[in-house]
Amino acid sequence: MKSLTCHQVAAKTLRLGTLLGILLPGIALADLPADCYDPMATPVYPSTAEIPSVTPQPTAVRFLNMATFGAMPRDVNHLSKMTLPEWINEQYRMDASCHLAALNQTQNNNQRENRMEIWFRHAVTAPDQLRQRVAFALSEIFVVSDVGSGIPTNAMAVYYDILVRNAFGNFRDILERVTLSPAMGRYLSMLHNQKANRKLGIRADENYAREVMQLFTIGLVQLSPSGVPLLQGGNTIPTYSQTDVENSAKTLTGWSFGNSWSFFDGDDWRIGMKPFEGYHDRTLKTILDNIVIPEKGLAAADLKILLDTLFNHPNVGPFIGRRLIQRLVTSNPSPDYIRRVARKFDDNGKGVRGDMKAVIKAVLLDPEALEGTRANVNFGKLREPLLVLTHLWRAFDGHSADGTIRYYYPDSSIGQAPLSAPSVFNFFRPDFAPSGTIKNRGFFAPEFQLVNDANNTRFYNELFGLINWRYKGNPYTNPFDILININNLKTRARSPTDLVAYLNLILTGNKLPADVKTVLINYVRSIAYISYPEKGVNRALEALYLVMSSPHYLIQR
Amino acid sequence: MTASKHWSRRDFLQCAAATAAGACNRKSALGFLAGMQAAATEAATPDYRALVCIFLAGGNDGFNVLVPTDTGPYQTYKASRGNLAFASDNLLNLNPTPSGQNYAVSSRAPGLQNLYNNGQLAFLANVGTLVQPTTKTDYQANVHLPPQLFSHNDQSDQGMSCELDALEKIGWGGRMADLLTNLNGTSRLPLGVSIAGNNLFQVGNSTVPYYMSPGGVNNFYVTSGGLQDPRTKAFNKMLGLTLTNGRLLEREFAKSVKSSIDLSQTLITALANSSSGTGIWPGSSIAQQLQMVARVISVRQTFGIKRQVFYVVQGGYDTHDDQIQRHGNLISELSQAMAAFHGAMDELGVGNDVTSFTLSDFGRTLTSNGDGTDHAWGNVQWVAGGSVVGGDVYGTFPDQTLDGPDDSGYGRLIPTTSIEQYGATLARWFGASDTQLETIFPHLSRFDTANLGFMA
Repeated sequence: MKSLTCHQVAAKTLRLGTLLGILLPGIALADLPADCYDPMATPVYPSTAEIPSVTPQPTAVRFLNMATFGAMPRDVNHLSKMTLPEWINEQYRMDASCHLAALNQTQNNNQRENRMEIWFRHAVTAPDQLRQRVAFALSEIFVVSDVGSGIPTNAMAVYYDILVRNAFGNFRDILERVTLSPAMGRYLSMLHNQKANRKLGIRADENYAREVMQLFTIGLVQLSPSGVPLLQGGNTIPTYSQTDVENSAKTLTGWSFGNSWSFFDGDDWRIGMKPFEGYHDRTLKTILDNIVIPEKGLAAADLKILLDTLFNHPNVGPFIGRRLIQRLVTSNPSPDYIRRVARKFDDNGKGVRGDMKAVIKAVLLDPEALEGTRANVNFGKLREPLLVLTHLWRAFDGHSADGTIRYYYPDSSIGQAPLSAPSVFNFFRPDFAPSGTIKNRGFFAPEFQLVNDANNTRFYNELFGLINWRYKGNPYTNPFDILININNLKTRARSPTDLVAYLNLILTGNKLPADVKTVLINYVRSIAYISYPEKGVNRALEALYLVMSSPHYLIQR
Repeated sequence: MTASKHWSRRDFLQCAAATAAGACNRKSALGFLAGMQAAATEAATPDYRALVCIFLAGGNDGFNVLVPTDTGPYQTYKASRGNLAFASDNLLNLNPTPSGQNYAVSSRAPGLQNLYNNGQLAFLANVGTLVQPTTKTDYQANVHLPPQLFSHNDQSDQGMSCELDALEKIGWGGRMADLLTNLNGTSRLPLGVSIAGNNLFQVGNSTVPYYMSPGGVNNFYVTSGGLQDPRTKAFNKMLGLTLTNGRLLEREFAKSVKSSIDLSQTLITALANSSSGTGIWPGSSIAQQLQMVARVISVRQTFGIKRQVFYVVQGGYDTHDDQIQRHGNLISELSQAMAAFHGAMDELGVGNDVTSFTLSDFGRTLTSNGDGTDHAWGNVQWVAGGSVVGGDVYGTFPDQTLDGPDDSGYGRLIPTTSIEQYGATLARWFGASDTQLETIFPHLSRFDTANLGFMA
C-alpha cells in the first residue's frame, strides 16, 4: 500500500520532498524544493525601468561570467540597472527550469543526445541562470556520471533536477536528496547495499560511506574555518578512520528503489530510495568522534544520525565553501575568503546552518570575488570547455534553426559533458596543479587537469569550427547547425578598434592588456572590410576567434 | 606460501650446478641466459628501451586475476572470496612456477595465460604502497602506514609518485624522465608520452610528457596557414606577449598551447610512416591506446629517441557491484590488448626492448559486499615483454585467510612487496643507476632488495 502511494505521488508531481516526508517522518524537512518552470515556454525576462546605470558594464560582465553561463548583452544591460545583490535576489525569486520536464517533451527521454541538447538549452537560454549555474557547480561536487554506470538517461535528468531545485535550499536537504536518489545509489552502490550476511559471506558496501565523507562533506583531514589543514605534531589530523567507514557503511544498508515490493525489486528512478529493514544492519554503530547510532534503529533514523553528524561537522563550511568558490569564482581563494564563506555556511545570520542562498551570496559578493586581482594577485581560473561554448552561444545568440541547441557529443569534441565525468573525482580535482610554476609555487588550477597537447588541439580546432563555419549568413550550413549571430560584430567591424573594444567588453569585462589589443586591432585592420558573403564577416570572425582562443579570455579573472 | 626470489648471477650458477640433479627450473635459467645475451647485444648497438605503464583505474581486483590452485591455498581463497570465488572451470591453469607452485588466471584472460606460459609475463604477488616493511602488528598499532589508505585518489597518487607524505608530489615515471632524458640527446619528443591524458606518474620536476590521443595527432587549424600567414603571426604574437607579460595562469596556459602547436607538426610528419604491425587489434579503448604506443615506437628512430615511458589507462575497475561480469569483461579486453601489443612488438623487432607493466589504485577486499568488493591495499601486478623473466610469480604470495597474518580486515591484504621495489626493478632495466634509483624511489633503501629479479 505504501509503495502504491509513493508511486502515485511521484507520478503526479515528482516531488521528492513530499515523498521523503512520507518515508522519513522523523526527519524534519525544510522548504520544499522549488517548483519546476516550463522550460519550453517563452522565457519571460523581468523588465526594468529606464533608469541610469547602477552597475558599470565591465563590472556586470565580470560578475555574470561568474554567476551565469557567460555574460550576454541582454543580461549586462539588465544588471547594469541594479546592484549586484538586487540581481541575486531577483534570481532567487525566479522559478526553476527543470531538465526532466524538457527532456520529456523530446521524442525520447532516454536518449543521451536529447539530455545534452536540453542541458545546453538550459545553460544558454534559461532565465534562472544563477540557479542553473550553481546546479552545474553542484554536479561537479556531488558527481554522478553516465560513464560506465548504466544509469538511464532520464534518471540522470531526475538527478540533475535535484540539484537545480535545491540549489537555493539548504545543504542538509541537498545532502539527503542526493544520498537517497537512485542515480547516486547506483553510482556509488548504496542502492541494494545490504547488511553483512555470514551465510553468503558478504558485508556492507563501503563505497558511498567513504565518498560521502571524503568528497561531499568533510574531506580527509580536519580543517580550520579558513580551510587550512589543522596540524598535530606537524601532521594533519584525519577526519575519519577505516572503522568509521565500515560503521557508516553498515548505517547505509537497506535501501532500494522507491517502488520496490521486495529488496531487489523495483525500477523507479524518479523517486527516492526506500528502506527495507530486513536488509538494514541494526547493530550498534559508532561513527566519527564517538557518535553512537543505537542498536535496533530503523534505516531512516540511522541515516538521519549519520547525515546530521556529517552536516554539523565544522569542516563542511570551509570544505564545501572552497569548492563552490573554485567552481564559480577563482582557483586559489585566500584563507580569509574561505573563512568568510564558511561563516555564512555555519550561520546565515538568522541562526540557520547550510543556507545555500547565504552561501552563494557570500561566494559571489565577497570583496575578493569583486576586486579580483586587485584583492588577490593570483585571482582567476581557467574556463571549463563547456563554459566557453555556453558563453559563445549566449553572447552571440547561438542556436539551431528551430531554437534547439543540438550539441550532442561534447565529450568527444571538447572532452567534457554534463554528468559524464570519468569518475566521482569529476573531470578535475580541487587540488590539481599542473607541473611547472603553478605547482612549484603551491597553487592549484583544477581545470588544467583537462589541459594537455591532445585536448588543446581538439579544443582549439572545435572552437575554430564553431566560430568560423557556424554563423548566420554562411551559405554552407544545415538547419541543425548551431549558428551564432554576428550582426553586432559586422557593424562594428568597420572600425577595428570598436570591434576589439566590444569583444573585450562582452567576453572579458575589459581584461585584455593594451599590447594584446594592439596586435589584434592591427591584424583586423589588415583584413579587408568588404568580404564574402557580407561586409565585415571576415573581420568579425577572425577577431572573435582570436579573443576567445587567447589565454586572456580563457583564464577568467 | 613463499616464492620470493631474486635471480642473481649467484642464483644462476647454483641453479646451473644443480640442473643435473633436476633440482632447478630450466626455464628460469634460460631466461637468465637470454637476459645476458640481450644485454651483450645491446651494449654493442645503439639501444632502445621503453616502459609502458598500464594503469587499471579504480582498483583492479588482482586476486581474481591470479588465483592459487594448490589445494591448501585454493581452499583458503575459496573461503575468503565467498560468492566471488572462481570455480576451477572458470580458471585457466598456468605452468607450474620454477619452485613448483600452481596458479591459474581468470578464464577471461587467455592472452595473459599465453604470455605467461611463453615466459613473457610474470606476476607480482602482493604489491602495494608501503613506507617500510609492515606487519599486521604495525598496522594494528597504526605505525608507519601510508596516509589515506583505501582512498582512490590518494592511493593512486602514492603509487604513481612513491612520495607518500609529500604535499607536492611528482611521479616516479617523471623522476625517471628527469634523470634519464639526457640519453635522448636533442630529441624534440619528450621521454614521456601519454595516450590517456594527464597523470601524476609521468610528471617530473623538469620534464612533462607529450599527450596524444589514441587517434594520433592533429594540426591546429589556427596556425595551419604556415608561419608567414597573417593569422598565424597575430596568434603567435598574442601568445608571445602572454608568455612574457601574462599572469601566472595565463602564462602557464599559453606555454602549454605553444608547446602543443610546436610539436604537433613534427609528430604528424613522423606518424605518417608509422606501423603497428600486421596483427589484428581489438576495438577496445585500451587496445587502441596500445596500438598508438606501437605506432610511436615504430618511428622512434625519426626522433633519435633512446628511452620512452608510455602511459595508457583502462578505467572501470572500481567494481563495488556486479563485479563478476564487469571485472571479467575488463580483464578480457586487457588480456586481448596486451596479447596484440606484445605480438606487434615482436613483429617490429623490439620485443626485448619494450616492457609493459600494470599499476592500479589499490587491491580490493577479498570479501564480498554482496556482488562486489571495496577498496583495499596489496594487489597483484604483472609485467610483460621479451626481457621479462616470465612464467613465474615474484614476491610473497599472501596468506588469504581472513583475519590471518596478512589480513588487515575483511581481506584487505597488507602488502609484502613495496611498489618502490617493483618500480626499481623496472627502472634499473630502463637504465637507472643505483644512485638514481634512490632518488626515484625515496623509501627504497628500507626494503631488503631493490631488484626483485623479474627483469633479465
